[in-house]
Amino acid sequence: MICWRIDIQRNFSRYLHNELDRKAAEGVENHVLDCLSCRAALSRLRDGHRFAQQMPRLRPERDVWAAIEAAIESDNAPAQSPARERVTRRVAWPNLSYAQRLAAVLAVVVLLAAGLLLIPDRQDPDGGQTVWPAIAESFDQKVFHEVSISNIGANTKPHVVAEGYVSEVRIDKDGDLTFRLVEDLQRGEPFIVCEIIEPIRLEAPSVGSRVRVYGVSRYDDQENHRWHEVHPVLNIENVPR
Amino acid sequence: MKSQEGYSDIEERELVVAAQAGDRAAFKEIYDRFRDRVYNLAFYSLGEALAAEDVLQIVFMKVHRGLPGFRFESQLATWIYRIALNQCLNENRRRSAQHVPLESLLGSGDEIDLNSSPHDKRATSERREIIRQAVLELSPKLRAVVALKYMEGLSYDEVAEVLGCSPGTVASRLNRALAQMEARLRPLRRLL
Repeated sequence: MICWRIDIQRNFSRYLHNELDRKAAEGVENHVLDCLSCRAALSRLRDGHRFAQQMPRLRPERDVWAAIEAAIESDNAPAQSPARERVTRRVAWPNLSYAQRLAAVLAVVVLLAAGLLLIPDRQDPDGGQTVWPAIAESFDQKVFHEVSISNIGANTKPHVVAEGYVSEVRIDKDGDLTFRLVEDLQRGEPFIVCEIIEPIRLEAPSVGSRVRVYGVSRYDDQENHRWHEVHPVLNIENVPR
Repeated sequence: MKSQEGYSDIEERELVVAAQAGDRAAFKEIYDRFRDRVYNLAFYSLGEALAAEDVLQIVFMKVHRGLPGFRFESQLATWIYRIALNQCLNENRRRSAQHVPLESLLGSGDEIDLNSSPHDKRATSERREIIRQAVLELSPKLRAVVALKYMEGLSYDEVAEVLGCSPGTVASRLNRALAQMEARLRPLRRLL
């Protein structure tokens, strides 16, 4: 026979967790004494409760603190850069006419264009690599272990740097950005999948460019993946060809 | 930046204030206190260890970014769980979790004798795996409520605050979750 005392049944899990006040708990107990159907239902929930209490407590296999700390470093860098602060500071418009504002905008554009022509690319004196300055300022490259794309499987270090060509760039639905790093653009393999995740804002490399990618090494063993990754990517250096 | 060690005995509020002031050791202590809790919540929400580790990483990056704006209007744990659950929701949206069907572990609906050597570690580990899989068979909403209640030991009101729903909804989801787990594991009832 089905019992329609939904008000009592709704309290079953709370009763099992001792989260009912005395009056409501007595209400449950008195009802199940007389109601066979609810007594059976409560007994089944008690078994479910017993199973749930045996849920194993798990620990992550790897400690992700190093990756978090590296991400915090790169996250902090732009805010600490006075140059960046100057660029992002809100421009206050005094009481200028439309023509005066237009002239001011044009003057700024001309100055910026001249600046871009006059300022040389930021170059590493040894490798001739162009870097993203804000990240590079806070980045300790010494902690990253150099790996080749074909041999990343033998790597045991958590932080790696790999160099190669970008064969494709994809954006996930949630905005995370993934690109593939290959040794030879003519061949799809071997490759490393590199993922730029949302809290770390890095510029996507362009397809066909040669880059050095710094980040955390891991192996994605999901059924349709089973590939090596740099995840998250913590820095990208553009390598001139 | 203030450099300080031995935060283990310090109250949570002081820890948060120190971390807000940029003390990396204080933030590391927060991470250490919540790492396994966030990981368990992520694991039971997503059903996959690697994805749970990713979520753990992203959650603490977001916690670090959001910490300066944390005003103690809720418990630190509640706030971190909320970030974790939102991240799990995002992750669940973009991937379909692949679960090992329970049938592959149970074989058939007939009762299986796992208890031939009750003190055997392997049998214990198999029991845990079966229960873990039974939890992973629940819908993501039910899994989250079960993880918050049974892993974190939150009250109904606290679970409701994390999930942004009423305590009545929590009770209703727990009723359903426990009923489904019982139905799933009934063949093994006497052995678990």
